[in-house]
Amino acid sequence: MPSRASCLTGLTLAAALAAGAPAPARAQVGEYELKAAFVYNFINFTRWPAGGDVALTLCIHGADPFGPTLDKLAGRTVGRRYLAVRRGVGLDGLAGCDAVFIAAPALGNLAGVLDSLGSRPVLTIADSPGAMRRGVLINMNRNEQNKIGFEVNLAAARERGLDFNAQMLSLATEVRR
Amino acid sequence: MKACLLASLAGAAGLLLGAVAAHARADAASAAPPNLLDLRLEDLMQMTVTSAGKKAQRLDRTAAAIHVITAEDIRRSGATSLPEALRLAPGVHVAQIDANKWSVSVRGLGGRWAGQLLVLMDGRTLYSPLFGGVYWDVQDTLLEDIERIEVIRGPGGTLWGANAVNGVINIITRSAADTQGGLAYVRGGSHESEAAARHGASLGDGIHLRAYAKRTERDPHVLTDRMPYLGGRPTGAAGHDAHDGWGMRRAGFRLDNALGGGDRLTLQGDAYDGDIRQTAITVNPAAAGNALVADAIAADGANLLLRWQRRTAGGELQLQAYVDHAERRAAVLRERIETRDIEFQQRFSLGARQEIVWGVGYRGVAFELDGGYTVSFRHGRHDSALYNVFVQDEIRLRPDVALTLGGKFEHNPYTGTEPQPNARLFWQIDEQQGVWGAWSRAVRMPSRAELDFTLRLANVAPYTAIAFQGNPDLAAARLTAHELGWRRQFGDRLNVEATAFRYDYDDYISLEPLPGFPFSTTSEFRNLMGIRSQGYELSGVWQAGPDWRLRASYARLSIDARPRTGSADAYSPALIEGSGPRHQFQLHSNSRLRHDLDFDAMLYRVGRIAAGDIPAYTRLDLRLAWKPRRDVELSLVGRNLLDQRHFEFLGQDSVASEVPRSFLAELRWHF
Repeated sequence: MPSRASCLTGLTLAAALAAGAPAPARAQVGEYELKAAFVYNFINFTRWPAGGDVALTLCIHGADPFGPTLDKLAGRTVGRRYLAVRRGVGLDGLAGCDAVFIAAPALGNLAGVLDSLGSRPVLTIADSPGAMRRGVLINMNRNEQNKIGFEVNLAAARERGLDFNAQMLSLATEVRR
Repeated sequence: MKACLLASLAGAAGLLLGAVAAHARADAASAAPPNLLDLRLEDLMQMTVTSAGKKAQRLDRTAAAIHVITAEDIRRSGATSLPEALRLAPGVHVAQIDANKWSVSVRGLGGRWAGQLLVLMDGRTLYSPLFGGVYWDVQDTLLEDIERIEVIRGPGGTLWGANAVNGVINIITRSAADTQGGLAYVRGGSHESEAAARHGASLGDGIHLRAYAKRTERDPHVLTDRMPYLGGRPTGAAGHDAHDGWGMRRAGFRLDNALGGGDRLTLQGDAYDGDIRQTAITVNPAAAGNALVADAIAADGANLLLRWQRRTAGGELQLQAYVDHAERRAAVLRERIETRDIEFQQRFSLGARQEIVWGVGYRGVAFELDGGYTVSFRHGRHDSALYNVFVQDEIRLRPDVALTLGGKFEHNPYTGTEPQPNARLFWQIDEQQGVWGAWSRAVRMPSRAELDFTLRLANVAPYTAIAFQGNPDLAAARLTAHELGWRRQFGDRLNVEATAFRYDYDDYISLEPLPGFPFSTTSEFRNLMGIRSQGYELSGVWQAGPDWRLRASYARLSIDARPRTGSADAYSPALIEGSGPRHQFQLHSNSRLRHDLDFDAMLYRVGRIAAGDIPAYTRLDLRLAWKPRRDVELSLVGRNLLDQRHFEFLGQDSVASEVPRSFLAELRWHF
């Protein structure tokens, strides 16, 4: 059997090489499946002040655009913390969050959201044009090639006691310092 | 194979039902779309959003009945073993036979030796090639390191790149990069104790390693007064120690290396060693009847897997190889099985609307089976080789309609080449709603035992046994499956799913009496059974509040077995038809009472099982977890709170026991 096995190994390797030829099209994914992966990365690249709960709570404020995709995040580890997901969190519940995704329709009352958060170390994320300049810490944009980019408000983050990994900042389309 | 030691008609039929299976292959997960959560930010920025996708993609677009058990679901269930965690999935029937044995089935045909599920962990198959079912007592890992368990009801076909008849259970562990830092826990309670530690560290740029070790001791259950075997003298009185306690020691590691240029290399392995007690049924050649013996099984095993993945412009390449060694020494059989498996697969886009996955695989299995009078093999030493090739094309016919066509050809030395085609269509009706339908054929290959063994149940006179005999000329059983599914999201908080299925099995295994004088005492496996099973499953998840989630499901199953012309099999039909509950219902609640306090409740209702006349039961598990500090969690779990103990499934080659009410406390520390 070993000889058969090695024969097959050779075959599969040959196949692998043949398959290495450039594939014609791009991988396409659902917008919010992709954005959920961005959010997960943002959380991984954020440093919170020491002393938080073992659960790192990601809240969705406003109608949840992610759907079941978000459930894949729940329970993942971030450093030494577990990620917990809460949907439909109102203004009064925001104080218990470590990160908040503010859905586009709820951005109309951004002032109210920022008010409820005070100066707490909460990572705010949105995907609406101009949100970063209005005080949201990370804002995702979709460009003409249908790719997702993001901009970071580092100055506002530091006021909240949060910091970001330098590698993430280097990938941002804009960083407000 | 112990496997084959059934000592009763009931047991026998269980084996019948069971068995075989899919000498399947392939990493189910890798044929699915890439897991975006594992990609780096740089790579995510290169991905393109579907053109239809200005709208939120809120519906799962898989054209199959899939349920994902997440890491959080497992943690909050308080489950301490893989089969117990599988109770969380709708439409899966998990029944505990004794303290260390389980029957896990999807859409019927359950049993200790049932073999129509493909069970994988990180691309390595967990079921035994000897009988096609899983030795759940030796299949485990650190449950905290599991990222998710995908449970697919229905033939896996090629959608998951794997061959499976009734369903697929795909266990995926976290990457080493996701399990950095230390974790230690101790738990103890009325029936079990466990201590475990895991540590994850970075070994430099992009290289992560984790290692774990754990030790488990489980106490015996209570002996049942049910005697599902012929004759035999019980070794204890009902209500007493069932002699089925067990202990396992296990350690493992995983190394992930993110090489440059989108390549990833994973090396992982586990080793285990355990002592498993049971009351086995044996036949003494010189005596009439059979006898129960207190047996201590020594089991050990190890595996090592290497996987290389490369992300290409529009897809992925993967080459994976593993070796697996499993040894088990029981009173009636000593078995040693070595598996070598290698497979390659590629996913790429063809034009803007097609995505193709194809692959080839080889598996070699070497058996060393040393039985005795109770169970014997004509060829105790045997090597087998399996080859397969598969291809699947997902075609986006319209922005809202996707057609998936796939086919798989598997070659085995016993039944030749077996084609397994499938076709699936998904239509996204609107943003909130989708329907799908599927037609598939799957093949259940005879297991090593069904081809080769002789199992003696009891002696009618010295040296004359009632026996079941394997048949080297067995053909594969064929399943044709029709499925329909519907998913809908109501508002932001309620998701509902419904599926219906009809399975038609041809050439399923029957037990045919061989001529004998003065009467027949031996039955041989033949392919003379036809089965139709049908049913539906309903499930829903309601996010009742920011901190409260409710989940409910109901599964309905009915099975009709019809021996074909020429069959004289009088008792398999009733056992096949009664192999699972007709009704199953679950209601789970996960809530956070305070920022540091979780409360979870899981209610299960399992209907009567006709084979063995096992009564319906209702089970309630509760869990309360408190986090006094950010790195410490203290939890209390109560299981089977509604009754002192209850019976879940018949023993086959061993005596069953009743599942008791139990309590468990756990202290977990992250460092």
